[in-house]
Amino acid sequence: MYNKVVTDYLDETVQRCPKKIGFVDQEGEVSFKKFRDYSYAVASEIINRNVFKKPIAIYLDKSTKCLYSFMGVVYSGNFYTPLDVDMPIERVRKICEVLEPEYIITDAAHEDTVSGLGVPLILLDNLDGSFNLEAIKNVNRKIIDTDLVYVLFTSGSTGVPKGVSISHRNVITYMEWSAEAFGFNETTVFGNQTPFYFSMSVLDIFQTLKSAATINIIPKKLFSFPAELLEYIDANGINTIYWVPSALCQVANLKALENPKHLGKLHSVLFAGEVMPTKQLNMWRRALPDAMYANLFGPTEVTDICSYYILNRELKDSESVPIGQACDNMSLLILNDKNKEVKKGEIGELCARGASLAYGYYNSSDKTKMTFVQNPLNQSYPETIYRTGDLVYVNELDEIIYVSRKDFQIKHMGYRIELGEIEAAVSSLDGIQRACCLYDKEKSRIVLFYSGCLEMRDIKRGIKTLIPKYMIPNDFVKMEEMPLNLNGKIDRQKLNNMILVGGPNEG
Amino acid sequence: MRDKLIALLDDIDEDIVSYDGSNLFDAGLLDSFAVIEIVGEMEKIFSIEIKSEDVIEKNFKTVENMFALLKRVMGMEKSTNS
Repeated sequence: MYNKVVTDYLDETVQRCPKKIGFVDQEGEVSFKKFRDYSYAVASEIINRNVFKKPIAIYLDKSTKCLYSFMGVVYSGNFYTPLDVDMPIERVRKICEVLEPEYIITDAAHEDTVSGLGVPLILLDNLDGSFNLEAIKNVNRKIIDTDLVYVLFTSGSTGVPKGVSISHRNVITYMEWSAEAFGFNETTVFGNQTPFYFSMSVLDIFQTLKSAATINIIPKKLFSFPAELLEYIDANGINTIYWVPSALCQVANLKALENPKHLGKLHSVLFAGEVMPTKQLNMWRRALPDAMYANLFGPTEVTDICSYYILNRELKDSESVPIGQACDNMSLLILNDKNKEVKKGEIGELCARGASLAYGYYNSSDKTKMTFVQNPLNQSYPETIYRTGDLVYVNELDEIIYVSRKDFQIKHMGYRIELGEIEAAVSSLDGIQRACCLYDKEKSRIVLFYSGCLEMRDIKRGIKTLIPKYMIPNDFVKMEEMPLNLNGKIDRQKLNNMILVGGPNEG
Repeated sequence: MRDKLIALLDDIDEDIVSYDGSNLFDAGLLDSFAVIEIVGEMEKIFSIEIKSEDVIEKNFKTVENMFALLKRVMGMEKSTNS
């Protein structure tokens, strides 16, 4: 049977195995049937307020509660945006200004934080668990697969986050491919690492619904302590992980893999979000030789992934891990600066087309037009491609290899960051004249060069209320004057050379 | 030694030093990135090696506990050297 909307997955799974535990967090375990009842209760609450096809934000700790709130929104015919409870409230406000949500779903613990945003709240604590199934079914008949499921916000270069708009069809395309490619089923137990406001979590969440798998939300704290993390994985029967490479490297670098007695059940190790260093990948492969390893690649704008590579040969520490080939029902073009396809071995920009391509950025048609463009190879009918901004080439084995970014977007600890967003926050402080951020890839550090009268601690204190913690620069270099190029712009090349030569001053 | 540790933590986030509760992780002041940074800096500044079994919540949840870990590791290094 063909699925039209993502909640069809949940309905089928409830029919097939209602009592199976699908969700595990620090509060306990929840079966699929219970999970759907909770989702229905949230949906009924929204339907009673007569909203349809509108954005509803979710401001909750990462938990099962958060997941059934998502599904409640979807059953009600609306779409959700997860908001990070750890991000500064000023950034939440910016997101709300773009999204204009009808409601924020939250709980008593977070009520005070979000009550000043001017958006009406729905408090989960006030729901009594009842629902009106007939009303839900009526609404469901009106939802079609081109309607939105969610809007995920990602860093924007001017300082305003961009909301990537994803439809039912997008998610279903992604789920049908990934289930087939990696063989997920009801024995799969996901050890979820990625935050729910991050596109990678979409696989863990929706594959749990589709494949009747189990999602175990690993407490965030454990990622600081690899030995305890591996014990948790073992004790909870986790056999599949889809993590950012930073999390995998943390385990490898803190030597937790040297004695891998806790890795027995783990059989699938997937990663995406940033470049996986081959050295640490090889440490994993030595510790756990029989597992399947896969490198997944794609931006939020293609739902999550457009290309993938299942490791099938040895890689030297000095080789890069290929990003492989296009996923099913997706197609990739590599274009040069004249918009022509490159030859094998030549570097060009990766562009994607296909059924998991997002519509664009919510309430931002100007930004959408810059990267969601007409396929330059097709003059005959409207066909959108997404320009990823990633430079790649194809090797002799027909595998795509990632080279670098075209612009100032970086991946730091798995987070996608526009350096411009950090610069905008720093520049907004009184006492700053110019600010320029660079990324030291070798050492994985964000380096801020600035001129003005502020010291490091003043800047840190100032931007802490504006941008998330993971965007705060690691090194601060105060300049008498910023080097400028002939056009009067900050000379990034010169600053970059300063990093490459002995590195900026310590601390 | 204590001063150096405080200075190191202060550079990462001044709120870590002024925090007087019982768990920096629950307070949202420490996360996995900060732990890597602290471990790396401690190893560099004090020329020690911190083993994976010592990277556990108990040893990092307060400044006092980090100081105790540091003293213990440095004490052990001294005794093995002599």
